[in-house]
Amino acid sequence: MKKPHYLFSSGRLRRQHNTLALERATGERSPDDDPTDEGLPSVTPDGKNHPFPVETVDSLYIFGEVDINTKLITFLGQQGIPAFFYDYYGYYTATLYPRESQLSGRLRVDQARHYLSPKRRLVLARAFVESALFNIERVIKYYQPRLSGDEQLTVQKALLDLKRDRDALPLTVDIPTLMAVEGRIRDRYYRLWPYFLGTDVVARFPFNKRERRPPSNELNALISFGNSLCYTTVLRQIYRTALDPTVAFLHEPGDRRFSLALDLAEVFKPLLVDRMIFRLLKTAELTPKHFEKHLGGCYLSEAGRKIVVGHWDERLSQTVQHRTMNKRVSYERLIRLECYKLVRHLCDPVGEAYQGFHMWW
Amino acid sequence: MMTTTNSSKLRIGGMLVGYYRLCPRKAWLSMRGIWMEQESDTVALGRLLDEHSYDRSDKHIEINAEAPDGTPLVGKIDRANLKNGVLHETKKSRSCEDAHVWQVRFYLWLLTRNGVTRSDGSPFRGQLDYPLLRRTECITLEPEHTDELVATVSTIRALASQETPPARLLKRTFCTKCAFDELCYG
Ligand code: SF4
Repeated sequence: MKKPHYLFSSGRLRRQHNTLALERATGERSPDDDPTDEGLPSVTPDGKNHPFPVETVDSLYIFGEVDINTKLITFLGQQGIPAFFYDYYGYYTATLYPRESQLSGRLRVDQARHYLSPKRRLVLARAFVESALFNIERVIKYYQPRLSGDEQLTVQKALLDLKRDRDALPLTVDIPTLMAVEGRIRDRYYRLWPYFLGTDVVARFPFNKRERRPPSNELNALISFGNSLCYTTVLRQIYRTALDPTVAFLHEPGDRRFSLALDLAEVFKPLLVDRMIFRLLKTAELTPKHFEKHLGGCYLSEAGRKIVVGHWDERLSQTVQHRTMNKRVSYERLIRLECYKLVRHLCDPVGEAYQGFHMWW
Repeated sequence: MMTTTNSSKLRIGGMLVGYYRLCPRKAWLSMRGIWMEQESDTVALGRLLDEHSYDRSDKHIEINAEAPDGTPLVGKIDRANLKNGVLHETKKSRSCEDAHVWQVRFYLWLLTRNGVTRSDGSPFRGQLDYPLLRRTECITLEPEHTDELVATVSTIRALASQETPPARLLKRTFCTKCAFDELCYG
């Protein structure tokens, strides 16, 4: 079984015959050894190799300060292993995306055609927003019965607004309007989070609004980190298909290099990221001591990141009974199936129109 | 008339003919360059079998031919015993046997169209080998098979220029074993 490998240690990652090996660095990493551009190795390896068989590696997450060379990049490319890099603060910085093995010229042309035609593009963009909203609604409804009094009323009102917006989606005429609807819903949804989290959690983690660059408090840091995990997970699923990750429909190709992953991530964030955050905070697996403040921003500490990543990895392998396939599929596999649905739509937009993933449980 | 560049450049191979026999949709998807990632254990097993079952000599002989309608045909033959005039094709299980049989008939047809015969002038025979099951099956090419292959080639040509994929198979018994299952039904 191939699995993503998460490397928290710093060191030198290299190819050793047909395996990957990490030589750990001596000494700790600190924000002070931030990018100096002297072209020198940034770590002093301890000379001990920790090999791991390449057959077990689906993708690499590199959270430490790691030196790599061309041979390693070539090797990862041959093996079809994408690598995701994070900086000292746990900010996603880059992806090493190997040359694609699953190429279909015709599908690529179809994908571009759907992007270029405003009508076809809108159909897909709408479907992404529609299912994102549906899944948000699902999360809200999950917590709603546990609330009372004013909170209950506020949530009810939010649900009504949400439904109105969702019903109005077929009338949206362009992408910016769709984006605005989505943004508005998310804002409204985030404002409900303190209710879902409960007074205990809120006392530890005050939260009022979503702020990204830099994340202003713990919850914002957590959302940013979770969203980046979702993005890379989607990206590595797209990699296993013939889809072109750079051509998206809701997002612009300029939003990020692999904007198709942003489109699909919208659909899965409520299930994968948001519910993970509630879980980690409500069970107090994450506490304020897992966060650090630096230069006006807030970041997950390494220990905090380990907890989140461990939980994330476990969550992805959770399974549900698929409604039409007559078998259990993991959450991660659901993302792959979503890619396939998109392929079907691109081949036959009328007969096999894309229906975004709706949480059915 | 098939005039799109798409179908005029189309080369039809034995695997495609086999796919078509199983499911036209599978043939259409694979002609589009849409392949399913080979990640299941059974596929890996198939590859291993292919690489290690027999000695590598006489393997993967490529033959080319032209169908009566001008469609270029190509076959990669697993293994051939030239002395006895037998073509071999190795498979791991008999689950898609009809496709295997037609694949071999297709190769026999390619030989005929190239004028290749046994030393006594009779046509080559085919053999399907299932080493895991310790079974073999003999295949011959009768005139009605040739007619059917001619028809299949022109249908595949038409299929290639079709904008949208053919419908999924109605009976899903085969689909559950098909690599495209998740692509079709996921
Ligand atoms: S899953 Fe079924 S319908 Fe799809 S290609 Fe395979 S056999 Fe055909």
